[in-house]
Amino acid sequence: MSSRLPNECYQQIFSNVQDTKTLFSIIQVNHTWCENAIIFLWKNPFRKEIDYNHTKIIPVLLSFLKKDKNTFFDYPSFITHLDFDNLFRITSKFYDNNENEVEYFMGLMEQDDTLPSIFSKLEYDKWPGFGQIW
Amino acid sequence: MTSESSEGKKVTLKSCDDVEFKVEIPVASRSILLKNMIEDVGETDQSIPLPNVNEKVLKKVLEWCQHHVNDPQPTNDDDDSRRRNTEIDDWDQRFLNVEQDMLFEIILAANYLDIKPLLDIGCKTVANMIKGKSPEEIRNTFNIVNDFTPEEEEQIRKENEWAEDR
Repeated sequence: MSSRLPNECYQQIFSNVQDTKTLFSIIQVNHTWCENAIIFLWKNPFRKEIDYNHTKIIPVLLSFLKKDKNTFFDYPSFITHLDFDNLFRITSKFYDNNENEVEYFMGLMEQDDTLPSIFSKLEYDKWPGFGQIW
Repeated sequence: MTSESSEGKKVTLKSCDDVEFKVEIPVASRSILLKNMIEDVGETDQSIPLPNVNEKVLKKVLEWCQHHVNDPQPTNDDDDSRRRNTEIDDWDQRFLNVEQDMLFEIILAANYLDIKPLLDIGCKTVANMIKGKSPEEIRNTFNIVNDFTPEEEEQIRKENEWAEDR
């Protein structure tokens, strides 16, 4: 690509890519592609099309409860849509195989005020059932 | 300015390599940048310089504007519906069947001149070229250098492998 595009153009290009597999490829291309595509990969991370590796997202999200986290991006801040049915399903599946790890993080969550910041950017009003659980 | 009063009237555009194009105002007005300029300046014999667009690209962009001169102007509300619609019509597909450098030049020019529908189909065309490719295939297709360190690459992969379709 000889002519470098402005970030807004990259983002408009990537907004047309819906499938997770391609978005996963895009974020590995180089820094510019990664930084402009990561928001689309994490926009709705519990969408249904993902299956085989999906539980691997849970440790990444749990790591945001640690004070000394060292992730590449502030992933939770990119989340704008949550499929709660799928979130529940994936979390349960993860819990079945990693009970101790989950218990450890539950302990962390009780002492920590990080959780509200994870949820602060969600569009609650787009999910009418949210209030009933929260 | 209504389209009626501007019919037949022309405006002169000057590319960055000093080539002048005489263009009917409704055609030039496909570009929101030019539309606003023309409305602000009114009738003038002076040419409008476009320092970011060369002759070859400007000619191509004006060809698109001429073909789409009677399309309704897009509004901001169209953003979502445009994005949902992944179809590109036959004429536009042929129009964008160009060398890769030209395709990116068209996208840059459409962005600079604020021609949203042209920017949109340009971006969709590039998106279609990306779909289903591996990172290495994408780098080869667009001649991109991988500027990640091996450690960074590994970390990005690891933090996002939940999205990997094995």
